[in-house]
Amino acid sequence: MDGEPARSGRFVSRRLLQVVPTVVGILLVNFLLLHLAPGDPVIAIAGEHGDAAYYAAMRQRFGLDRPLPEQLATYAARMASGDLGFSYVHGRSAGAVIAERIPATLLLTGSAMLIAIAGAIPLGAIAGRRPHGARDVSISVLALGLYSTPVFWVAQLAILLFALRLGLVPVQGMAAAGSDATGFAHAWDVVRHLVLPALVLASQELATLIRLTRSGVIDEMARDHVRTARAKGVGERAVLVRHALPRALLPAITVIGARAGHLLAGAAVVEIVFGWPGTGRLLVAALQTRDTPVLLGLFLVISLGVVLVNIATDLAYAVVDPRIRLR
Amino acid sequence: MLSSTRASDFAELAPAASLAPPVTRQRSALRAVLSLPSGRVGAVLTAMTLTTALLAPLLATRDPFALAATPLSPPTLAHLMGTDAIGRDVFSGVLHGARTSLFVAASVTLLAFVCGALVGMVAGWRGGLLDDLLMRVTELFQVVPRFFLVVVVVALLGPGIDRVVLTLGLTSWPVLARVMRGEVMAMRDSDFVVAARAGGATSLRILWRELLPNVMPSASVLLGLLFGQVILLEASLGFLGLGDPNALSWGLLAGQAQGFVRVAWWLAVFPGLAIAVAVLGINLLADAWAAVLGGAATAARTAGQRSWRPR
Repeated sequence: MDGEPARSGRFVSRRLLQVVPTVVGILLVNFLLLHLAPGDPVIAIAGEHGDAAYYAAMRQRFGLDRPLPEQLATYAARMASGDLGFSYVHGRSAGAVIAERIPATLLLTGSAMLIAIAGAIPLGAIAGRRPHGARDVSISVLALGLYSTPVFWVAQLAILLFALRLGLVPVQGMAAAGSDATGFAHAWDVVRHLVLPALVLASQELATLIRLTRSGVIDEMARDHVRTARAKGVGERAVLVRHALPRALLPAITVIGARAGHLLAGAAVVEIVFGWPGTGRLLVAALQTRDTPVLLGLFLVISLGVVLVNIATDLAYAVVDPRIRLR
Repeated sequence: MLSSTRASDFAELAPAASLAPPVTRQRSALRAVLSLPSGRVGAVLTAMTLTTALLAPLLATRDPFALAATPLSPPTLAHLMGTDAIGRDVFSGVLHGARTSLFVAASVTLLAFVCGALVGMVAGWRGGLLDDLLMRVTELFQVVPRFFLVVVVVALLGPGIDRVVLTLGLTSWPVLARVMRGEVMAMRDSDFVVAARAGGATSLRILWRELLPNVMPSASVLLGLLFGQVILLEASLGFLGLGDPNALSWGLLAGQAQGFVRVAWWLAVFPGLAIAVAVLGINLLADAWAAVLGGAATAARTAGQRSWRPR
């Protein structure tokens, strides 16, 4: 037992150490993208709307006459200090523009993930309990169907049906236009706007999580500990819920991490369809206005976010499943 | 030190656990796939998609770019899927859109396969330091958010199919590499490899002639799923207006529909339906194929065979 904390400490530090090359790689990609942009990198950093004096100052500031490796070091240092450049389109620092959009995206992706988990666990468990039974087939077909459907299509159909036809929820935005409601009324307004986009985004994650839970339950139900529980007279329902399901769900933790990039990509599309004021809409706006600092800043922030979620889920997995630490 | 595959490798592409019960003995791979309901439906949907793409110019009732009729006309006999905001026939657009979408998906899948096979098989075959290094690179590529990378590349370089294919192809191989590496490692010391080496075969020849055919079955399941994924990714890019505006694609049509959701439901419904049919078809096929392989692996184990090859 003495070795246990030391071992897990080693796992954590090794996992954290692996982040270093990843972050360096991400910075490198960003740096290359900056130089990939046709024309002067100064314009890419400073936007197309500055004057000659500003460009000259920027050139000196970023040492663009220096050799590339030196420029990379300067660039990394600048990013490390949180300086993502200046957005002329917004007239403010790109970092500030991006930061104020992050909460809306987190709210959308977080709600979608919770809905997906809450839906996938019972559905996957029901499907995995009797593989190839009628319930399994219908749930699995549903999962494969959702997995094959483009997210913008689900979003458009949902708007057509639930918002326009049935009028159950608002069509666009995060709050009613011109509303100055505060407190509970405001929160309720946001929830009403959130329901449909969160459900649509959840449908995409639901498919993977159902399939994962299902195959996990099938595997666990065949194991010795389940047989022991049954031999001791534990009822089928309790065997499933208390013995098979918890262990079946463990790998889902890492999968949620591995799909962070996919979730954010889906969120970007959903934000466009529903007019949700998050990073996805900012991304498309930055595309249209050629706001390169915001564009590259968003890419950097999203990449780092994906890496962080990956580490967090890997560590969480190690906490709940000691077998990982001991490998 | 590094685990060869993780659950999340497959989860990125949906776990390969299959809908269908495993098939044990079949005379041919194709027949085995078609013996499953999912395989049959998948084959029909995929055949429909391929036919559409190949015969689009013959099947289309109009020139997809021609301003043929009244703008925003709902579906009629003359315009099966209605017309768009400037009077173009949506049905012909959807048919022609199949070509772009499938071309991109096929190119990306091929490119990802070449990269994944190179990295994965070399890493699995050589092992040691090179393996460690290649797997680190693979991990790095695995966390790159593909979708956003393409968005940035297209934003900086301008729209075009070539850069979409290159960017997606060069970032879609990690899962393939990891799976192929694992398989090569498992087979590295098998009798048939030892025999080939004793017969004087070079590493290159063993990798190409002995190992690649044995890795192909499981790789092909992933390739099928990747194909479907790329159709979805390309559609999302087109939807955001990042596709080539001169090449009709399903995503482009769906994106143009966005401004008219309130007034013209048919603009949004049909391109999305085409995508769903194509992707569901290939996913069902991959699923059935995985079931056949799972069954074949069981049969091979009981028969004492080392591996199973599709005929």
